Amino acid sequence: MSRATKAARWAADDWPLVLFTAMATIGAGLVLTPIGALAVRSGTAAAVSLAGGGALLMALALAVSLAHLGRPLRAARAAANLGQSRLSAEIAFALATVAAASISFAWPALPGAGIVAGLLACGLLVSLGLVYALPNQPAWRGPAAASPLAMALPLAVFALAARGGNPLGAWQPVVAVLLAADLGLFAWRALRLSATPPWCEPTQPEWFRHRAVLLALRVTLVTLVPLLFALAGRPLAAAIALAFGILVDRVNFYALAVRRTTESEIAAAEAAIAP
Amino acid sequence: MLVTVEGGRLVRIEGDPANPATGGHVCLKGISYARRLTTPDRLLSPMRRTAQGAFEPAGWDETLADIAARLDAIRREDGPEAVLYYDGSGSHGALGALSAAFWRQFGGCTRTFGDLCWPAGLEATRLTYGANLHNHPRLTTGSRFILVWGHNPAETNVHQMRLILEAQERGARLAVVDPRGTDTSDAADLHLQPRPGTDAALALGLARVIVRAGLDDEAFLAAHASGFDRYLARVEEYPLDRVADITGLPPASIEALALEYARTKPALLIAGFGLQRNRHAGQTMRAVALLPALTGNVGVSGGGFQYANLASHCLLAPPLPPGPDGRAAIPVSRLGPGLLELGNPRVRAAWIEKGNPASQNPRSDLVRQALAGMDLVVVVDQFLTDTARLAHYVLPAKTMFEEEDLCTAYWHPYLQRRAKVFDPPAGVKTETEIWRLLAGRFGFDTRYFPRTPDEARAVLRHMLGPSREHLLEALEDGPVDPSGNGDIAFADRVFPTPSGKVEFASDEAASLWGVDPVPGYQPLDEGHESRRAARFPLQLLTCKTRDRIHSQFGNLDWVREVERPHRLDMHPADAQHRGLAEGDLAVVWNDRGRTELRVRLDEGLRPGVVHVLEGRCHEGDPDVNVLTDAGVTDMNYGATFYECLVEVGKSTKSRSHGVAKSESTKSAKSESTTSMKSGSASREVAKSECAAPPAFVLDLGRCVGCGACVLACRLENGWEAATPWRRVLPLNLRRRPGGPTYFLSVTCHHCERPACVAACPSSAYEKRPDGVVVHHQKRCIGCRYCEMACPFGAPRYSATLGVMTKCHLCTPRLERGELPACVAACPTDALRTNHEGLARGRGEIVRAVPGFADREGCLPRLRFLAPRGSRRASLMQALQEALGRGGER
Repeated sequence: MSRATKAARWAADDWPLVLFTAMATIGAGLVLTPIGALAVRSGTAAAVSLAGGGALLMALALAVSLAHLGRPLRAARAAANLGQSRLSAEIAFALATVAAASISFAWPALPGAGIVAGLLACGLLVSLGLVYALPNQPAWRGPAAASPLAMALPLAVFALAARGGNPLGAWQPVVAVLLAADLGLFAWRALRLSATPPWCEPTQPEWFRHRAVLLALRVTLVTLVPLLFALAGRPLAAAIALAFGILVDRVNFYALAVRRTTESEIAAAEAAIAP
Repeated sequence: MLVTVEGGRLVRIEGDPANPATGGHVCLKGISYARRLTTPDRLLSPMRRTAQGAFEPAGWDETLADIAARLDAIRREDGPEAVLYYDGSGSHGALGALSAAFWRQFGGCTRTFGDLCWPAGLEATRLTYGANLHNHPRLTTGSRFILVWGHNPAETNVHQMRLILEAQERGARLAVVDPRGTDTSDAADLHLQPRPGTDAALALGLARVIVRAGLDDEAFLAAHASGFDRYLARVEEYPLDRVADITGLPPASIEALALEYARTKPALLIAGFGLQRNRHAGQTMRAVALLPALTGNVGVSGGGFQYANLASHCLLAPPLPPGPDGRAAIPVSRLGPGLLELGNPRVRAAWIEKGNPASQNPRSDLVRQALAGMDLVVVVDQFLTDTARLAHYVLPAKTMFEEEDLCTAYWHPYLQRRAKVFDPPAGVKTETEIWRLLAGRFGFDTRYFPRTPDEARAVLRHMLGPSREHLLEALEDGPVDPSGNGDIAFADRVFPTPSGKVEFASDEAASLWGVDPVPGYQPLDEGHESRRAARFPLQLLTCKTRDRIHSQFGNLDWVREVERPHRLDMHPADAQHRGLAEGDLAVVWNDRGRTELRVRLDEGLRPGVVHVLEGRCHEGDPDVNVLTDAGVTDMNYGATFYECLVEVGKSTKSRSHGVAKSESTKSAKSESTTSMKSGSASREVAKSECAAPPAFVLDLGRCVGCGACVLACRLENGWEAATPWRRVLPLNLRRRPGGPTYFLSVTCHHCERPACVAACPSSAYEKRPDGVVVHHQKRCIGCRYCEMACPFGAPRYSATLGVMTKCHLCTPRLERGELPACVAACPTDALRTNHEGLARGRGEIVRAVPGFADREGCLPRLRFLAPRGSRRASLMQALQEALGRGGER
């Protein structure tokens, strides 16, 4: 099998996960906007519609995720292990967020509905990161688990600014801090990738070989371009660029995963005695 | 071998505990018979080659009618000897001898003589000791020193390896003489790597050291040696420095081996086929075979010379009609050139069964050329082999499960019965039936060919002879030693030689074979001292693999998924000298032919020697026999596969996967000799093993990476190739000097804190109270999250089922009081289930070894026994130091 074929096969296998996590992150970012509106005491109506859009996007994300399941008809069992499984927690948060955001959209006058939805979205974003902070996946562990939240927050700001008619100027320091935080998290993860321990191996070596390109693309779309648009006072363009950036980040995330296996453990032992 | 049939399907193959030699184990190939029955490429009807060269199914009537007509025409035109009958030893059994009943009525035929495998050694042993007998294998465990010479039992006789390892654990020392580093030499305390073909010099050099040190057994020699004075004069010709010069070994190593072998009693010398695959094979084997007699190790428990044990070869010929057998005209090792040269009459037709000479015989290119030029080639086989592809007709053969028969053995003394378990599939006939039908076409007397099981039993009873015919019933209960010799060969010190003594000088050898009565060293025609070495400086060895018996089994997907690829093994220095690196496509050539294959660097190999696993089975395998020599050994017409100098260079072809073709510059050995009984016969779990929660323990000192555990697991649990529940992972197969070589047989470790249980969103995993982690497929949603979570690669996603699958430690078997399939199958007892049970007497159990560590806190319950012995222990320590950590207990 050629490298290109292998890479394509991975893309085919994992695209539902890439789409689900990207759409869920973007959707959750939009559901966060009512909290932002409350903080700045304006744009409430826009936030309601953004949260509604976010709910729709998340519902679509959940539908897309079914394509990843070997037995999609058993999807209801996905939340059966809430006590232990982070994946169960993620699914539960996603369902609850969709429900709360839908309610806040349907009954905008309902007190606190948008805030509840926003808080649930925060929970989803945290759980999204934690799902993959698996013990044997060093590149996905640690501060990198906060990446979904770190990307969704500036998206919420850009979206609210674009739809709510708020000038971005007052938000620029906040946006800069959020983007810097995300960049810091990303840099940490990139460093982890470059210092992969010898007993770990990339799950997609064909993609891993080109990680410099993938990482550069991610920094460009998630950090640099949105920052430039923000500085130019164009929040809608910044939001769109960041949404694409989130998609690229998810491609990065799965394509550049490294994991510990018995095979890689053996390879490390072999490497230790190689000249 | 015990097989279990459920619902008409073979569901289990296990070793027969009634056979003390195998200890109730079965090897990888034995287990793979289950797949052999069902593999899609099995031939299920006669096949006829079309004018376009393809094969099409044909009916039995029309096929046999055409074959009979064409054979008859050839017989009328050129006589019966224009037909070659060639039979190998694949799927062999006593009833195979019935073919003679056809050929005698045919008027005879042309036959081959000699053997590809080991006849020179057989004759050398017979000339020396008078018979091919050795101690019962189980006495191996009582040896204090074991010298394995030109043999790799870890691959080719895993049951023997188990006994050697047990002897080591009881304190025996192990020495190996082999130019290659092997899974056997890995376990050795001493490893001498002489130049191939110099074994006779080494043996005589060892003898000289022993004699000069006064360690020869004077009492034994005085009473039981013939021609010892002449032998003494001969060994004086082999001083250490000369032997060192010939063999390329350090004098100190030779001396150390000689002294330790002679001083440690009892000492067992196990010789393999490796040192008798050259022209001077017989004399070499005689030189080696005399060492046990020199040191008084013959006729004692735990000692002796172990090469062949023909104690079970007691069968008489079947009832046969009178008539000529024809001409035995061609040594089997010269089949190709012999067929092309033979005239008066020229061989125009060939009937080939139980063999695959088109790829397995030396000068395979010439064999193919000869067969391609014939008017009629009929091959009887289970699969479309290289030879079958050259046939005009291929007749589908039975498997060993499909006809009752008797089998003799080569290593243990047991005669065994093969029970009939299944009828042959529709369209398949037994060879006996084929002969009967063909004889009917010629109007021959068909009464010689049994029609019914009762008639077949009558033939077998006849072959057992009047004094042993009662054994046919006794064999239903298990293997029987028909010889009555007892466990110790030559215990009475009676040697059936002309002198009645061990023949250190054999005048019989001189008269029969024209060799010196006293064995000596003669350089190989194609060895390091020969003129050809200037052009072809590398000696090619084509050794056996654990995964196949020659070309058998390699077609089975189950085997191919676990076997080691057939590559050109080279020492890095030899490779570097030729600009070759690991994985490079190399061309190997000599004056006889050339082949291309990928390089595998092997630092365990003696520089100047290259190695390719023999056993070409399909298009992807290298055809090494285009390179090998079609010579004949000095005794008994054996093959000279290792008289083979080659040169290696980088191929000009692009780096593509797979093994490239072979070409000429000019233009199976036996099945397992097993008895079968239907019904379940798994070993019960010992009470002590039930005391602790079941978990796996792997003895790295005993695991030889044979893969039997993998196949047993697959047969038991029916998993697909893409979702292996168990796998065997080698560490340092390249044998770098900085660490040991061992194998990790791994599956689910049933962790104390299993990541899969914590991760699974649908609660499909359950950790049972007994510690076993089971996966409930009905609860699984197929999200593959557990696959990401498990650091050991245990859960596997089945695309067919849409759910995960993994080892459940054979809980149904455990509940029946049986061991897990992998444990029951392990032929060296390396894999066990209970910590305490394995610890007893074998050393300290550790939780982590290089290549396996619990970095994530899952607390896997797999435990290890580290490789033992001073050599391995120091290598292990070196590796752990290189990894910068201790033992991680």
